[in-house]
Amino acid sequence: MIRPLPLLLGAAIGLVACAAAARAAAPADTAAGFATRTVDLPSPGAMFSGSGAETLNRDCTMCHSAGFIDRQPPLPAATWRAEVTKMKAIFGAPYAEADIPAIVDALVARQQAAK
Amino acid sequence: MSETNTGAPAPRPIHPSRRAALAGGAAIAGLAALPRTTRAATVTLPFDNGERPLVPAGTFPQKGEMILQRTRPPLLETPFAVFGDHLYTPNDLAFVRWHLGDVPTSVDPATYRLRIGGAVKRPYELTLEELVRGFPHRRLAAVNQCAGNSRGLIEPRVPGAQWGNGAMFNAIWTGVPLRALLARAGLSPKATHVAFRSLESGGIFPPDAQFEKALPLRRANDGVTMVAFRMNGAYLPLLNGYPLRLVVPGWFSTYWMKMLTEIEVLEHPSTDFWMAKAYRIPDRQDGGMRPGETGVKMVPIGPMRPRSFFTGIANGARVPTTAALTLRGFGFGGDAALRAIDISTDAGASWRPATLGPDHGPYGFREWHAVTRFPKAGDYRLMVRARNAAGRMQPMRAVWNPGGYLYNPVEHVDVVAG
Repeated sequence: MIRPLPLLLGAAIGLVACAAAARAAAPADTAAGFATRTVDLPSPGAMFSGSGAETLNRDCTMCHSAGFIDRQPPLPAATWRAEVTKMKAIFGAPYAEADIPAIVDALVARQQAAK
Repeated sequence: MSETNTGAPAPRPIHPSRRAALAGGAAIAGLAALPRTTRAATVTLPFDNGERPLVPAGTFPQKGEMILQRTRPPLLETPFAVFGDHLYTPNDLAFVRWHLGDVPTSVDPATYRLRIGGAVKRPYELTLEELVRGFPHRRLAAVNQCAGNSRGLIEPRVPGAQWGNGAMFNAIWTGVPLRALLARAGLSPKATHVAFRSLESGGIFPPDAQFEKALPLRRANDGVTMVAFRMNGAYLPLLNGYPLRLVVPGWFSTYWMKMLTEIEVLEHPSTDFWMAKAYRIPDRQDGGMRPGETGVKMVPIGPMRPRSFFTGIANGARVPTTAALTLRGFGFGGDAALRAIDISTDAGASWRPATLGPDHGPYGFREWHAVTRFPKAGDYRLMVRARNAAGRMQPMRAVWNPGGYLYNPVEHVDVVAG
């Protein structure tokens, strides 16, 4: 059964009570009740271990966590190459053009190792 | 169209509940005491490599128990059972999606400004207080759904966030119609598009990286698109865009700019990466193509399509042959109101209409139910199919495109009677 609009409060509870995760809000209410809000973001699963970890931690995890790569479906090398190239061309990943084949190899090998 | 509206029910007052307090307490204890060796809870989404951590409430700020798709920048999926419990998704369970590596973690209302400029006669800026006090408000129910919701179910698989069906949520939004903001600025007669930018800018490496989206002027100026400052009656969780979020009812979430700071009227389409390269679909009626097909004209994604779901019943469920069973669920129409929900108990060979629940406006979830009988013991495939007021109906098969967008085929559940 669908209940309309319950439990809006989890957010507030999490914010107020859960200082560990959400260093919340000096209660300095200002405009129209808007409060200053500052949060900390956690990092579960952020780094690689195992196959290719050295390469992938160096070249990938500065922008995004490792788990996202490990949750991809099996992808062909050409698809990985397109993704790694995009990360450099569009998002400015600081590896050299010449490093791309090694990163792609590490990704393909990691997916094979996970099978 | 009226600036007031809406048909959406009044949000109920917020009361601390014992359940919420207990949940919060448990989360704190869990964070403090969780030994490294404890095996975390997981869920398995229904596709290859679909196991995901289920992170406890409080792991992410202002968020309840969520499916972890990515830690940084955060991608958090709403567990599907939530939709069976709540027509309006609780704010702490609303899915989360960020793009750039450097997610803003602090908002200071004292210095926050919303700037309106570009091809206008009178560019100006607003404090939060000026926005809230200086313009009429509108309230409406609307589904926020990721363009790639359900991407993990698409075959052949494509890279990207491997979502199940939980990259969506339904909320009542309160805000200022964008039309009113644009009217104060005075549009240039040459205006064609409106671009939106936010605090999500300045990625880690490219100094010019920013997240920009743009709407055609007609969509931006339709009186429905709004700058929202409340979600289900409360300020938005930071990860859902506090303090201001663009709401584009009926269109995919990619346009619903979080932490909105800039509205720039353009005299041309946006050339930004997020419009010119990403979030694009084949320029075809169904938005699909064949894998590997070349030379397909691609255009920015826009309107959502109808979807419908079962709640409270899972594959393999046993159903009685001796008594009626009421099937339940919800649906939405996409960019046009939901017109009808049909159900089938014979794998789509025949259909009959379900009864729709209360109408909360054209853009939100709407409940349905159907009293059903299973007179003979055996296996049944149940299906649910939505049709919208524009005549678009859910297809039996998903379309394919390289971004994994627009997934909306008819859902089914296999049950055993007897």
